[in-house]
Amino acid sequence: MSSKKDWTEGLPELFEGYTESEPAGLWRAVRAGVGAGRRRVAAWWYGGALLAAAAVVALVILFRPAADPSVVNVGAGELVAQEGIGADIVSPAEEVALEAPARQDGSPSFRPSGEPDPSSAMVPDTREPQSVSGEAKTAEQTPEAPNSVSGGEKASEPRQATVPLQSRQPREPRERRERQPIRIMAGVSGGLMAQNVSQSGQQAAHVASMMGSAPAIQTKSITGGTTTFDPSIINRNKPGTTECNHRQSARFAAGIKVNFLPHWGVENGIVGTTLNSSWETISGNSVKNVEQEMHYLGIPLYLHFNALDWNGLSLYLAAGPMYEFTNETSEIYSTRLNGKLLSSATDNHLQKDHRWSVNAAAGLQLEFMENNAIYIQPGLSYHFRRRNVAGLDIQNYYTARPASFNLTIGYRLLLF
Amino acid sequence: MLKRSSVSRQESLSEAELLRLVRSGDSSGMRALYERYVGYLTAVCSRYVPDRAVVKDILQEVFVKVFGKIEDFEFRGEGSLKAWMHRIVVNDSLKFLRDNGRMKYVDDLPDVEDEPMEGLPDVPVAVVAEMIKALPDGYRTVFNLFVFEKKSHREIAELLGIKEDSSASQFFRARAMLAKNIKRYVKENE
Repeated sequence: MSSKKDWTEGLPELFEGYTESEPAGLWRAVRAGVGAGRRRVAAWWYGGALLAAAAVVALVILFRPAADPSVVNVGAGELVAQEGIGADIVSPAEEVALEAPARQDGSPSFRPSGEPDPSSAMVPDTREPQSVSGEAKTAEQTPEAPNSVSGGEKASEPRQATVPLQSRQPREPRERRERQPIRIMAGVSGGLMAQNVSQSGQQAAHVASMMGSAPAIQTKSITGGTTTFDPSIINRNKPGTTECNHRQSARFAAGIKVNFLPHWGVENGIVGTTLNSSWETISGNSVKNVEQEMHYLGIPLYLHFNALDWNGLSLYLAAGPMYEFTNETSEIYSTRLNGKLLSSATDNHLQKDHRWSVNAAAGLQLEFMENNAIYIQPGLSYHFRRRNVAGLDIQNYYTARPASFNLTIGYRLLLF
Repeated sequence: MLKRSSVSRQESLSEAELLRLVRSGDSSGMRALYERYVGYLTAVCSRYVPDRAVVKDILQEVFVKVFGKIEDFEFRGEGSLKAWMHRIVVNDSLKFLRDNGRMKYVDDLPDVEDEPMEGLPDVPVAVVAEMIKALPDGYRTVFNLFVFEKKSHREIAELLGIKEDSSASQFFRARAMLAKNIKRYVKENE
């Protein structure tokens, strides 16, 4: 090397104040790393708190009070406790259509097994026990019957499909009227027939057998909503088909994410989902629709891995379990005959359900403010089956498609 | 739409005051320390590792170390904090080069004719920085350690696990190549 001052010796002084722009996302990465190092103990605390919360939830589920037997869980076609009138609400028409044996005379059977359930004979008033046939006969003989036959079926037809008089149970005392469940039974054809109606409904039963236009039978749900049943849509002699459709809305969520390592974090929050189901039963020229809506709230516990990070925009993977629950179901019933709307009713009633699921997703997150982000997250989930307290499976998107895709849009608070 | 930093640069604070803020757990103090030195440290790291993504990873580790060990740092006057962070950056950069097999000191490259140059021409610093980054890994590492860290060839040889003669040879080649590039730049921009 030359003894004279080399030109390279001036370089340190030249570079003394030289700076370059920082790499994008560096501060966020530093913050995450520092937070991970400083809050490792906090991560254990958070984990313990979440485990404690999960244990509390599990204890609540295991030791929750038994459901009131007079309050039944209702999906479309399940039993509902009603007040006043002992009309029966239909079982899902497709079930009856598939299972109920047809009688040779074409008349419907009241129950899928073909055997009437004597316990279903509920007459809310204190009059003498009467079968449907007896009621029909009474209606026939009663000049006050508001609607006579108008080209519909003969009054004797219901008699063929009714429970024999001697097999009927005595009427329930009047004071127990309010607790009698109401059922609308489905016939072979998938149509509807009212059975064991109260005195006020006897005329309706008569009319139902007439296949003519008839006043609607109104019942009340335990939540106070009203359900209107129009028996004139009965079309017993024609086969029916039922189409079922389940849908899930996008999920909307809000949560908190805590980083415990530079690329790893844990998220907890709340997720809202709406499940819509519809059943359409077509029987000849009559169409019956049932629309069911269930709102679920979920509590997820996800593990996050931050794969890419650029200037506030990040790509991540998430996976973990979620506990979802709902308390109410909304149902809309409607019937059409020859394309014309005959009746509709809305019923909101208690419908307790809770489910566990496992989820995996990939998401895109935008941190629009420090520690505040929004995200969109498509993913996969699998919902585990369970039965409700009545022993009947709830029918909705989760039960029809346990494994499914979903889309979550939400807000996230970032902590570290 | 994208997030923008809301922390103002606290350039008026001395290093002692910054240290006090950071040690008290003040998050704004951490941000101020970061803002003050990130540009300088980025330039230092980039001289050793031109890859931008790698620079980000190295600097992340550096700042995590700084904030994690700042309680143990012994303040020795203004500038000592900067020098401490500078050493951490250099050491971590060398560690990356070593761990990733980038420390190849081969002499099979064509001989570079020595380009005598008296004094450094008036060339923008950023241009010289880019020329340094463009040097082969081995040349660049030895050049940086010799010129900027002011280490002797013996120290460089011990640090990099090479012979002292190799260190001198690498530096000679790096200097010649750099001089040639600077002269060409000056000629093109006359």
